[in-house]
Amino acid sequence: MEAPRNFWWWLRLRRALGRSQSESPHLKSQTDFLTAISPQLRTPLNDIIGYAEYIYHNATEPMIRFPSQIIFESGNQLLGLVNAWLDWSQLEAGQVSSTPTAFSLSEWVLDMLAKHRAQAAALDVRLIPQPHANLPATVFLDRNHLGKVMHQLLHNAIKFSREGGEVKVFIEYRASFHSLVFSVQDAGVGIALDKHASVFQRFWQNEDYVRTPYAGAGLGLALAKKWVEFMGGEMGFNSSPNVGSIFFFSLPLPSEKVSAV
Amino acid sequence: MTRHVLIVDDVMTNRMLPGLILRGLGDVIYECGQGEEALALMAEHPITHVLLDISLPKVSGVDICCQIRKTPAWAKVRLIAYTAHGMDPQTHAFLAAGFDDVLVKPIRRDDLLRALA
Repeated sequence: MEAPRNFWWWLRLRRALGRSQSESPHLKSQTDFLTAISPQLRTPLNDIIGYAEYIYHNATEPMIRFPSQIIFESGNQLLGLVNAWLDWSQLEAGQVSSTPTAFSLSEWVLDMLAKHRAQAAALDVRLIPQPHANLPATVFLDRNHLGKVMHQLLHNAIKFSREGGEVKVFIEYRASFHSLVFSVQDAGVGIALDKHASVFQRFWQNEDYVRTPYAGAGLGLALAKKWVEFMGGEMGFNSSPNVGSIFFFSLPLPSEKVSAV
Repeated sequence: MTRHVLIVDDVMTNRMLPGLILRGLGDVIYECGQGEEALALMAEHPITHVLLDISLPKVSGVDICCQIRKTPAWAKVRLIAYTAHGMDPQTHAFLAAGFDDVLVKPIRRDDLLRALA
């Protein structure tokens, strides 16, 4: 399975049709609310996560290390939810700015995979980087924003993989669009056809395959798609039950900052 | 060289946390809950690093940062914002005000050590 050829036509069509964006006073007040409440959440989270990590780091007894690890991980889950919620409302309200830097994509993808090695190892999943040979030596993009999208796709691909499965990350450069295409492919449980329309909706979860009570809030993919669109790209996917899923997104490159290999 | 780290935060538990971690590494720690006290401690001790909360009573962390940056004797002090204000524009504003780095709460041990390095 790979990103379908007609993705490019679809991309062109979407661009031609344009995207309508609306901003309402309601969104503004929601963001104000979150801006105000965010420090009130982060201050106690600093204690929960920080002291749990401190105990974990300094204790030797398993009976202390194990519970502190649980507190630490649950605290981080809560933090992830707070961050996703803040990102969402800031994107909705158009309050996000970009800080592009120059970096190498082939190094970046290795760095991203390294950050997911622990999650993958726990499920015995292999992570395989497949950057295409024609990639620009450096790109000029907001690494933080791009990282959020790739993190979400990798996290899902691993989570829905079978034990011993493979997750592949493809990066391609398409000269005709002066765009990059990133794809994350798993050979996991896949998504039933009748669920395809809801995949990018907020609070949707692939609930047929939920393995743990911590399946997430269903914000991840909707938020990843929003980040891609903020960066001027498009996101799509292909999936079959019991075969696996491939999620892909395009990203236009700023013209002058790219140097060829 | 031994680090002399001043931690300024009005929330006592938030203030104690980096102190616990850093004492274990042999750093000398000073703590206080207000900006004016921070300046007094800096005048008395050979502080090399400051972790400075932003939302402090009376004088804000940004104002304290500006005062430290105006004092030539403290030109080499490493100033790190230690804050629960994590939105992008805020982070940029702290760096523009003269902070060397920004640590957004909740902090991780590795992030703390990286910011101090």
